[in-house]
Amino acid sequence: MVGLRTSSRLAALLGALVVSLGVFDAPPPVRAAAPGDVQRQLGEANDAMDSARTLIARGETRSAKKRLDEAGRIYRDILRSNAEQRDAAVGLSAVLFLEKRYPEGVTLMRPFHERLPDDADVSHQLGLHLYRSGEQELAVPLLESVASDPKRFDAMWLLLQHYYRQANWQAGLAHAERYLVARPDDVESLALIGTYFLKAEQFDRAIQTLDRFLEAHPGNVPARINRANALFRKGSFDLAGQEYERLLEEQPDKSRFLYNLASVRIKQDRCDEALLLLDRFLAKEDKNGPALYFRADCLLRLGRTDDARSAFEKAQTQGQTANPWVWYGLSRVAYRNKALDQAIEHAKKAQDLGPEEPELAAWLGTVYRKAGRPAEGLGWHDKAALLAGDVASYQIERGYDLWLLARLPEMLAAFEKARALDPTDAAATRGVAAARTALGAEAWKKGATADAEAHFVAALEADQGYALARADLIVLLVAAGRVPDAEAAVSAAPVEAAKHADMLAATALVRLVKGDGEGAFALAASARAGHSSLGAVIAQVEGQAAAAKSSWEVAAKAFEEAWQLAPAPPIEAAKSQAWLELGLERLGRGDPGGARDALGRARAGVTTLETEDRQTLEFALQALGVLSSNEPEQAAKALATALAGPRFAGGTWARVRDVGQGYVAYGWLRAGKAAEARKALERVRDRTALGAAWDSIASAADDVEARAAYAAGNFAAAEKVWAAMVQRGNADPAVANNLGAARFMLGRSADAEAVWRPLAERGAPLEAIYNLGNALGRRGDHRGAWELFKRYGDSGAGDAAKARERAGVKAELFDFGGAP
Amino acid sequence: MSRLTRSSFASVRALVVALFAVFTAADARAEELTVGVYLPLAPFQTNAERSAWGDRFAADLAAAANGAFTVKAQLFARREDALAFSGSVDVLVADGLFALERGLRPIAHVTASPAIGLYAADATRVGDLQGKPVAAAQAEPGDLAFYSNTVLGGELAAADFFSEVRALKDASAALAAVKSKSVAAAFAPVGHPAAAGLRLLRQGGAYPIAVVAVVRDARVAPIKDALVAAIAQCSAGALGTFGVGGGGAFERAAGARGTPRVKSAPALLSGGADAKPLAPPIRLKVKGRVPPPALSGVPLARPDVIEPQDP
Repeated sequence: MVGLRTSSRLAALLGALVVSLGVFDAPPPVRAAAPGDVQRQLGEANDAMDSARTLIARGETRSAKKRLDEAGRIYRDILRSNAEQRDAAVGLSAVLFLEKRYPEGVTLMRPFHERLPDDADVSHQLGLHLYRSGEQELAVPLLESVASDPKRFDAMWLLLQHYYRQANWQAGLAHAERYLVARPDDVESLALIGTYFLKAEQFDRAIQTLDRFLEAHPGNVPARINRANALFRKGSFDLAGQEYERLLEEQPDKSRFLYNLASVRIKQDRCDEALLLLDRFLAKEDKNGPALYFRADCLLRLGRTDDARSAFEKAQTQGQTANPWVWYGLSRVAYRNKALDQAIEHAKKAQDLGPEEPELAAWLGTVYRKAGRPAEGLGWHDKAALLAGDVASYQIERGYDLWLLARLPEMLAAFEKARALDPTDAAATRGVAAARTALGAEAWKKGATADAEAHFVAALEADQGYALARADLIVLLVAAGRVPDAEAAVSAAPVEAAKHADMLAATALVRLVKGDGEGAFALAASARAGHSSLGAVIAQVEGQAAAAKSSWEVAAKAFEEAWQLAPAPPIEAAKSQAWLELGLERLGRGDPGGARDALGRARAGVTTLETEDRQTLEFALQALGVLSSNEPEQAAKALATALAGPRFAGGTWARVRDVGQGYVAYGWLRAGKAAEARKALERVRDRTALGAAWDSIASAADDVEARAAYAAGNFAAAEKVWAAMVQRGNADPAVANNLGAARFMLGRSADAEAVWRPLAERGAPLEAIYNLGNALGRRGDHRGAWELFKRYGDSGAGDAAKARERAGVKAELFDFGGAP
Repeated sequence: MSRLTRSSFASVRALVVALFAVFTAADARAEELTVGVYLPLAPFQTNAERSAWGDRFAADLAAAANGAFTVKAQLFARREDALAFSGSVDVLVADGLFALERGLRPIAHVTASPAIGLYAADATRVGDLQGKPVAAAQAEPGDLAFYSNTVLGGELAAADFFSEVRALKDASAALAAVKSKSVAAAFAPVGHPAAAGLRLLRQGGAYPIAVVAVVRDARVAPIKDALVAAIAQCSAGALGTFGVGGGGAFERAAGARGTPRVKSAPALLSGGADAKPLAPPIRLKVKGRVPPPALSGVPLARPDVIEPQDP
């Protein structure tokens, strides 16, 4: 702009010169001149021309005119004597150009050009005159042929202006660059050249050039605007915004500044501020379509969908009905409101109005996909990609469509193309990784392990942080027995990826195979909590880890789940084994209901068990009858009969017979027949086969007898049995308490207290607390009794309510601090 | 009892005498029932009041019988008298615990409400009375257990806790002994007029203060229904209201005469039905082993959602 303006000034100056020069003088008579004279004359004329140019640059118009007159006269003298003298013609042409006598210049130079078509000076001069005479089509080729010469900067300048007017931004770029080199000190030209760079989308060059211009002209507003525009186009929104802020501060009513700063704010995702600026702008230009559109867009971005719809509709009423972007906006509003059909209709309308806009085609495709119509979505995304083949996002959208259409290889190709177009696009990268992972999982499912591994590796090459691919790769490596590779893959996971639920599951698997069951179990729990999709792996890890520490209930349930998710013979075997172990454990705990359930499940997979385990299961089911029968006496007798029969005869069944007698005893105990139980125990040949159960059953038999005596009021007999049990080393505190009870009922309160006191201090069994309180109360220690009754009452034991009531009465009688 | 009340009783007594005369004249064949009255814990301050109540009851009963039988009242002021002569009356209106001890089966009852209390002059809590003498109306040996189980909540045995439980002829006498400081406290029905000015330390147990029982079944049997119907029409005056049968308090009193729990509560046993012995371990090998993880074909992680939610 400044350049243009300077040129105008120059043109005005030259105009004045032309006026003062008047018309050509009449030609003098022709006479031949000697070559030496001609050269001398040319030298004088050229000196006069140089002087004229210098004076013009200084603005000394009158003196410059004299010099031009002098040069013109000399050139004409030469030509009068020799009409073909080329140097004089070129010199005179320059004079005529400065005097803006372009048609005369054309007339002068055309014959020379015909005679000397390759003469650069001639072409240059003729080009200049032709251009100024309006013969631009003839002039431009001539000027182009000479403009590469740094000395012909006026040709460059003219061409630069020519292409600027024609908005042919690429054609003039070379002249702009050359001109900067040829005329490094021509600061005035920088405004035009900087703007040219801006138009040619050479934003860094534009900013650099305009900065130089603004050093000389810091207040030049157009240059500041262009520089800010260049910053904006470059993406330096903060810097652009700062410049617009300054401009707006200087000229608050300048609507263009409001609009531009609003554009910056939108780019900065500061739509609330943009809205205020756009409102100010629209107060001045209420029918400005783009502003109305951007205002609506801002409202949509701010989540004010209803306001956005109204704003888009308002834009329509202000002459924007045929604006496809308004329909695009309305489609987005409808999408946001989950009105997908309407979103499609609006998007189609936008597409109809702007069929060449790839973004509109892409949006229609996306809305189709979101509406569950990926095939149609793909068609529109294909169109967008055709319209703009270099836009990565359209390929990404195609990838999403293809994903839903389960066309994985094409999906991969789409994302890879997107990645090639824009290697920095995270969605493209993630899409490649996802496609590769899905392809890998499919290959794994088909048993093509090598292909699967290749896909997972490729996925990770695309995106090291893609946790699913890494998790799958780790499972694959563990399955192949390549544990060190699996460990390496775990170690290579980026921090965030390592926290992914699927990575936790895969890491748990590695820990498990490395022997860290506890760590594996904890990681598996975290993976489960994080809803990992590797459910079958998690279940197996949990099952294995639980089995390793004999947590059979957890193991059984985990293997059951693993079996449901991925049935396989080894898992069925693990499942059956775990149920068997759980059943045996429950039998040992005296939980016949739970044992029946677990053993029943084990029996369902009995064929997967080893022979020894099958025998164990068979016997356990018989023992279960003794534990759970409603007629334990009959069950005990039946088992005893079976043990004595041929089925369990022989040395190999000796251990089973011993264990079986333990169960016979258990059955007799359940029937309340302590003596019979004891007889069964006596039939056990190797007590170690029963472990702690032998003593436990024997003690229980004694206890049954003692209780029966106690219940019958035969405290002495009861005391004798319990005392004997204690004497034999029975450390069960319940037995000690009962011994105290018998002694108390025999009137041996002191002995009873001696037994109960340590038990009560330990708090077990709870009955000892009550009993000691009862004994203290009987001998008149009511405070001691009150304290113990209170303690027992707070324990939640079976008779706690009674103890609390007794404590309450004592508290009232003796004012012990109030009833509990 | 107030002067007015005494004069009323005198009038009633005259009326009863007159009525007896009328009934005697009207039907010489009517059966005459002898009604004994022994109510040591009833809220009477004097024997005169007690006697007047008996006469009034006899008169009311005869009137209600409407000629079915006549009534003759016989008052027993002391336990010795009651023990000596109550067996000879046809019907006995007696203290509930006395009746229980005799094995009598009530046909009507009056239950004192509220209950029996322990009244003291100086003590502020029962615990202060340990080793001190207290008084009670003289009734039966089981009374003390009843007081222990009710007033003392079973947590004190009165016979052991106090230095002496002095048996006096009735509640008025027992309460008078407290006021005269000859005893530290006394058991008496809550609200007894003679308890005015004393501190009620504790109360408990509804008391069958009077029950009506047939002593001589053979004599009364022919007119028993008429007797029961007549009683139902009679007022119990200062005692309250007659109810049919023994009443809940009487039934409960029957079970509240045992040894207080502080002396009798049994010890609690531990274990028992809930304590199960260890079942023998059924394991033919040392420890179960499960096959190693089976990963072949296990479902791998597969991306589910790959595009952003909001385009």
